[in-house]
Amino acid sequence: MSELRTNKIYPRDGLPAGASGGIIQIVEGAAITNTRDTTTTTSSWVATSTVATITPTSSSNKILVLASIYAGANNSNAYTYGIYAIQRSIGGGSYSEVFAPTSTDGGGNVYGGITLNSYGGATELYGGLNVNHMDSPATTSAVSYRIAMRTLSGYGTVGVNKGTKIILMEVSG
Amino acid sequence: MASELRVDRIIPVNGVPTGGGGGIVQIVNTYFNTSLSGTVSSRADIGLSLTITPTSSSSKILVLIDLADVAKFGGTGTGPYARFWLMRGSTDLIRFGGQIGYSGDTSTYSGGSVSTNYLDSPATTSAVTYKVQWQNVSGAGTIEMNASAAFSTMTLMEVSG
Repeated sequence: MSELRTNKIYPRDGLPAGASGGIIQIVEGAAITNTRDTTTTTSSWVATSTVATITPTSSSNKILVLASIYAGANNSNAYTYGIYAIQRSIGGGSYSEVFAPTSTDGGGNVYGGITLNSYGGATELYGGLNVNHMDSPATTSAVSYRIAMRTLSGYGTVGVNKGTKIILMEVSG
Repeated sequence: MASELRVDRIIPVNGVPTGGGGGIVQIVNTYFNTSLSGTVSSRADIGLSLTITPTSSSSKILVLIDLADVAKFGGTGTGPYARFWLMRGSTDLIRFGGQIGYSGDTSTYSGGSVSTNYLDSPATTSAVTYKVQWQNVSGAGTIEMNASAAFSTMTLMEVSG
């Protein structure tokens, strides 16, 4: 049995431009246990219960966020549009979006990004959405990531289903 | 106290498991959100590509790909549907997402996300570029992906071999 303790792993000759180094630690958040978290909110992000927390060992390290979202949507007119985002909180502070759509329509409504949608095809829709996002929180305080959601006006109810979860990897930066 | 390990390979004490790899030495990640739509009757690049330079020729590259909002659009019979290929340079590595968007009916929209993981052995220390191509194999109608600027992502991890 041997054990190596470090908070940076780099290639011997240094990092190539744009690359990050090896993985220091991995955290798996608890998968959502509710049958389903849902919302019909269109004007703001609504938190789901899917959260994972990691404490970086170095403020220059990055966090690779692997999110598996089991998304669902329903609407009697068969037009559905679920929008999902990854939010971050540092040191127990408020959450803000770190991976979220930046597009808005003429009415100022957010759209795009991580989506599950149907245009006249199904009154109920389910699908898996996977996202890999490299974040740079620049802290050694505890950092929490969660999945948030919203929809568009007239597009019914959206949600996340049981099994939705986040895995976090601290990557040498 | 900060410490730093500089190394080209991270190997379990008892060696690398058969068919697997050791520790991860470096990672690169990207995403793109360009909306694509077309008949795509021939294979075409989707525009998602990423390059990594392995530190050792024995290293492997773990490729993680998540493609967003892939669908048939417009409805032409039960087709169209999309198929994808992961490529290293001009070499096919794996075909994935066999019939994405196929609905079996004449609905105008049907789709979902597509993901794949692949452990490659490029056997080089030169820069290696991975990319994705797609095609509407049905020969009719229109397919789309990244609709409404949805996010697709790719991550490459150099795994000690």
